[in-house]
Amino acid sequence: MIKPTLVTINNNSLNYVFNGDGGLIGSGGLVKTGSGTLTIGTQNRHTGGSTINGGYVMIGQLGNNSLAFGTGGTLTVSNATLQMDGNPILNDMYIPAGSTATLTYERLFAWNSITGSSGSASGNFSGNLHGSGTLVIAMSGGGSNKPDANGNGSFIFNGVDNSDGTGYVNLIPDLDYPSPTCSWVLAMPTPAATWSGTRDSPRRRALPFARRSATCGSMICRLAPEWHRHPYGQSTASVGTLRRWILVVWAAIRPGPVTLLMPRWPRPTSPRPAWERWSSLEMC
Amino acid sequence: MITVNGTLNIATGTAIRINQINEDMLVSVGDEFPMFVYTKARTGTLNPIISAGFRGTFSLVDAPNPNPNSGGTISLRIDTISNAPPANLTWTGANVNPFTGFAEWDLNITPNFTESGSPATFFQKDNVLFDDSASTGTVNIRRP
Repeated sequence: MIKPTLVTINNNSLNYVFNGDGGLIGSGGLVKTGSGTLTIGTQNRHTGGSTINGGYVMIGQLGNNSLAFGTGGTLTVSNATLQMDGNPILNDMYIPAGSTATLTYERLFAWNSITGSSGSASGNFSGNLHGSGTLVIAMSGGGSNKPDANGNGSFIFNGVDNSDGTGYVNLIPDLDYPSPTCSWVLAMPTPAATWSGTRDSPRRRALPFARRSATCGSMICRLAPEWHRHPYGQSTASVGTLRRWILVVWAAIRPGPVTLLMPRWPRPTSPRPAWERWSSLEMC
Repeated sequence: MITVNGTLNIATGTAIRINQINEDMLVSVGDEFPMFVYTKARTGTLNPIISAGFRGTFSLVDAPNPNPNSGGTISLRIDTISNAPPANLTWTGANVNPFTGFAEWDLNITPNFTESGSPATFFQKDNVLFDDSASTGTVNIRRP
């Protein structure tokens, strides 16, 4: 096995693939910077942690891999995207304040490798979640095949350590193909309760975007383009129903302010509207 | 350990490769590890090419039995272990293994790195940089 002190991948134009029957061991660490992609297909047992400070890291694309980031140390992710395979990750995860870590689960890959049936994906961190940054969990479509429109997923952290800040979690069922029946469950045993981002009513459409604070008890729902807000301030009946539904569900778990973010009308189709351009409707 | 039932001849140019199976086991200067047991005579050189995954110098020590041509044991001795700090290597991927078709990251075998611009192999505990200058981004990590 290879025992380096420090492995640095600083790539922008050249993508890297780590493959082979060996792996990294020892007390060293791995640092990824730059906008390029790193695919980790090796099973590593280094204990010095991994820091992903940019770009795109794919794991499990070369086989199920829970050991991409070693067996010890913290997985620090800052403004980078990790494409996961649904296998448990052994490391604690740290997201620094002001940064975002995005975990994507490709539905087709999950369908093939995890459940084999319903097109669902599961993510699991056996470690703890730290930091004040934002964790985005997204499910993406499946290659050339049509994505499964009925996906459900769960994402489980063993625990959440908020001693170093208030973090946020975004649950995004599918960016490109909003699913009418998609639901996500975020389970964080300590200290937060389970929250289910399920269907609204009466149109039974999903809440495509939801944001939840693990500590302050507030929730921000980012609505799909269909939930636009009229320029004259019209709030449709269905939005009112949605608001009531959210309040009921939310109050049953943790009372606190709820904010709806809706796209402006007429909604832009391309590029997709940025969050900052959306109007908000306070629901405290 | 290799047992030779007969005469052991270590020809000039013989290469001996040391792989440390248990990476947690500490090795020290002066440690000896039996490699060959032969039952008759020993001929050839005691200075083959010896390499390992860590920087150091090595030699073979012959301990023949007292009676002539009655066999003996040849051990590998660690003469020195480098105390130099880890090298800073940059991956080039310049040498593709013709059997696997991949550029391999192995232990002190394939010079797929540079150190200060010169081709270099990887030793344990070295620092490694992978950047945009390499000829390939496919890295085949080998198990020794």
